[in-house]
Amino acid sequence: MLGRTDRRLRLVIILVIFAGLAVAMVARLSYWQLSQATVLRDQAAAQLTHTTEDPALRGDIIDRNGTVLATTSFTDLLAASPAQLGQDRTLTETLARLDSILGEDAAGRAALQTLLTGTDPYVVVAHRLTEAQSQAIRAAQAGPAAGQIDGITLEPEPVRFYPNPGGAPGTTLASQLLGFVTEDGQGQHGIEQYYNDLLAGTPTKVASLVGPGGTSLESSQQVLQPGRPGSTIQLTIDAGLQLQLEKELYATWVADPSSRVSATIIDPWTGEVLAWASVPGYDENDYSTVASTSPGLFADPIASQVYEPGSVMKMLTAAAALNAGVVTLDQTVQDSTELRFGSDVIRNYDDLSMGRLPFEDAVAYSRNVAVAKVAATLDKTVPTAAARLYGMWQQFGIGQPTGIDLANEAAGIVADPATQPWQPVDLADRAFGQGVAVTQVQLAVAYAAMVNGGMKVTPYLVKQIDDTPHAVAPPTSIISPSLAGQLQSLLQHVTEVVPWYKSGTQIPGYVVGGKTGTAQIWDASANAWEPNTFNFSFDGFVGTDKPRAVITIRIQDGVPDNRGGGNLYLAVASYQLFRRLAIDTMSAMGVPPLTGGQPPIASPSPTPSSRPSGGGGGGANGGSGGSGSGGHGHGPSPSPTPRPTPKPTTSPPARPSPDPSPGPSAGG
Amino acid sequence: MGTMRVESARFGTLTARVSTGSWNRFDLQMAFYALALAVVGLLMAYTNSAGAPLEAGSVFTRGLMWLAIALVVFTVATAIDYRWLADFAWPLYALNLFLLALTLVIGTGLAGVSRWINIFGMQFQFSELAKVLMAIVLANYLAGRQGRLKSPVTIIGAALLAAPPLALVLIQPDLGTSLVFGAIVFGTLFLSGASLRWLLASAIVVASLLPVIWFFVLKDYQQQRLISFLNPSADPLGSGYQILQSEIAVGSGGLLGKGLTNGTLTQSDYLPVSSTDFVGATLGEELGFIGCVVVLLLFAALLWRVLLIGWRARDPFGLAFSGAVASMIVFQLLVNFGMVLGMMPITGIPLPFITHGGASLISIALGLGILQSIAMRQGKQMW
Repeated sequence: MLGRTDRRLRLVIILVIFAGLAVAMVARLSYWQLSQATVLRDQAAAQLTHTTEDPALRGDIIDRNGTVLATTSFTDLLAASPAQLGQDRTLTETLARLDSILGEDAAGRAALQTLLTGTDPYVVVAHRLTEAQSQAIRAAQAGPAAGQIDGITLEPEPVRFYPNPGGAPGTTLASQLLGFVTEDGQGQHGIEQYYNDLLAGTPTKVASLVGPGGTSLESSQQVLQPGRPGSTIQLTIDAGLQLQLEKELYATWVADPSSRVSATIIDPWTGEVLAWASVPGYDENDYSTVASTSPGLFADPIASQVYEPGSVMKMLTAAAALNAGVVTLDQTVQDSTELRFGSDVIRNYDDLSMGRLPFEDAVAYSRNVAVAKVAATLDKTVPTAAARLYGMWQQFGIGQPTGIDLANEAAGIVADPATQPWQPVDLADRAFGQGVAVTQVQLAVAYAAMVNGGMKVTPYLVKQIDDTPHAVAPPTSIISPSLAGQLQSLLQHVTEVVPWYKSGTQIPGYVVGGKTGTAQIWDASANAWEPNTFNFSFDGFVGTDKPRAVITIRIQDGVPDNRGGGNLYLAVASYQLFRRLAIDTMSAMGVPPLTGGQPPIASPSPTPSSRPSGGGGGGANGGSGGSGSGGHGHGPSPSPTPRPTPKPTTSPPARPSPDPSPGPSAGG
Repeated sequence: MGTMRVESARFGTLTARVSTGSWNRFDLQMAFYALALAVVGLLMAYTNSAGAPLEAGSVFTRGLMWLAIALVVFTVATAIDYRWLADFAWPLYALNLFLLALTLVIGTGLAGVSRWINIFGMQFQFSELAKVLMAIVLANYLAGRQGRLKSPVTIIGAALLAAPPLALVLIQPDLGTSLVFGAIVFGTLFLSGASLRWLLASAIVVASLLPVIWFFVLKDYQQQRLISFLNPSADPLGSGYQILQSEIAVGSGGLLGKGLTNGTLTQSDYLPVSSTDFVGATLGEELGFIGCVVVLLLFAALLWRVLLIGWRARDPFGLAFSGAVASMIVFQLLVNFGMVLGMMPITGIPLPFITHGGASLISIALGLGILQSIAMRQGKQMW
């Protein structure tokens, strides 16, 4: 018989073992459920919730009149389920069919086979099918041999589309200005990049509970963020004018040996950009090819690239001199053949002197020496004179970003005399625009201020976002209206008094004015000026009763036909291109020419009393009123000279004849 | 024992056997604890019914049906004089082997195993019933070896008795249930008063067989499952997945739990088998620390009542049977809940009462019913 005591002991042992293990389990429960509960709760939430983003439809970009410049359309994406293909044993048939439809080469076929042989539930086989490919696949799926092309699906995929051809073959309109959108929806360059967030909109975020297989439970879906479609962005650009501009730039680029030709057309009163282009452009619809062959085409040089502008900066020197009262427009100044600063020599483009001549003519004929001398008189000492010139640059925004709504705007390279003292030769150089680097859009703002009564505008490209007008900073007054008036009349004087400018720029019924620049290009790697390569500029305005548009032009790395005596011949000179653009602009803006009875732009300055006789060598027409600067320690001879008859072969006969009467050859 | 005279008396005294016993001695406490645990099991069945607990064929309605059947089984087992079982011990043993063999032949299961037999569209796992049937046979055997309990032969005999059903279960393969068989044999021997020395010796023999079993019997996936609890993070998406998910589910339940049907992890199938082997995780996530502790306390109380019945039993069968039932409950509770808590290897052992499964519930009801029968019939002594 069983011993009672032994029995009790064994029962107790069982109970004790149980109790011990139960206590251990309660301890574990306490640790998990009391001590670690918060941590584990977060882990649970993290693994349970799956957030998906449904991207919003990207907004269109339209021009000022509503013409669509960029839109989003849909093409098909080809996806496949290798897992299903394998199961259905249709892999071989499907491969063969896809091969013929997609037109793969041997390598593509091998890649396709690898892709489809896996066990993934989902792979993307091809993006952006052509319409023909989509149709072929749909037909194959629906056809009698449907079973042969199982396990694949077509899914709509948004694709950015730029519908307008540009002014040059193989380009789209305003390509550099607009930029493009990558496959993952990121805007690159231009408006697409700068306004990417607005254009892209906000994706709809949906949270849902997911099972371990990653399948979301639809019943548990919860919208975290409702999302917002992309905004439609209306540009200030006029598509018609833009196309004209691109065509003119392309023609110029073809005619003139140069790396590129760029121009902006802005409204000087508001800062609205009416057209903005740089040739060569590219085809935004095929950006991936461009990316692999010539990615340099993507960058927009107008706002993001700085260059030494040359004599167009003489207008800033004039502004400083007139403002300081050291000279008046008709006060005579002394020109000479050269100006020496130790080993540095500054010469005129023609290596000649025009003697004493009115200051306005010195600017008009782009006399480097005369203008440098005036700059030296800006104040008693070189540092204070430099400070005055630099101060005027500052007021006009030279060396500062203009605030235009584009990515990657450059500030320029401008030495502040307070921190980097200017030597006398620096002052002289910078008086005619060497030794200072600016962007083309800065020049547009500066010239706008000269013709709008002294107001500095913020240039802008976006007119309206959806239905909301785009607010820009209001113009600020930077110089007095009377000074602005003098500068404007000086610009007009340039295109009236210099025969080749006059014949190359004047448009009957319209008022024009402007200033050329022919700048040498410093080759830092060679530590020398590039031989016979220049940046040709023309910055000017056109209008009737008032200035209506400011046009800036840059013919970059132009290689002229050096005909000697400072005559740097380009088939299409910058000021001739200006006239074409001015005519296009007035036409696009619908500004009719002045009739005989209408008053032209009031000329606020007195008519210059003396004219150069031409004895100084300015008699020849043509020849960008450029300047070559003696670089520090180099003292190269400035080469530009007036050229004889520039008869642009590309000039349409309908235009006013630019035919000038040849004057005495420079240096005769 | 087993004379002709007794045999001939059997049919005539059927009514008497059913009515014998004192209902005053019915252990209300044990019945209450068992019912409470069964209700928790029903709650788990409710919450695991995928949002439609009242639809025909849902886990919950099936749970209700199994509970009803279990109550009938319990009542019948209580009413019948347990001493009758002694006469049927060997037929029951034969039946047991037959059912297990049948399972191997016509049984169904996941991934090539044979575990269940379909009866009227319901899956029934006879290995569960086998535990109780074997407990009867074992208790009967030990009762017959009074006075020779200390002999090693007792242990060998018990092991030989348990070996055929255990082997049949092991080749299903169902490692977990075979382990329960082993636990029942060991626990019953221990509580019945088998020689501690020989028990220890046999335990050492079994332990020395473990490496052999590990390397030659267990399949790779079984090995992985068995050791994954030691370091579940080593393979969080593979063998450790279940334990990590269990930890997250139970831990995120906190003190009070998320409430029935609100267990986001167990409800969203993150945790496989959350209504069966890992029902403890559902319990922990939805009813929290409080719920788990209450369940553990109910088990402790039930265990106490089961052992008390054995303690009070005047015959060795009662003691041995209560030891078998107690061993079964304790072992399954510790192994299953320990597994949910990452303290034990993963084995397919159900949590008594709570794990959804008709065979498990009915087998326990049968066992507890027999225990009630024992409690009520301590007036006379059969052996």
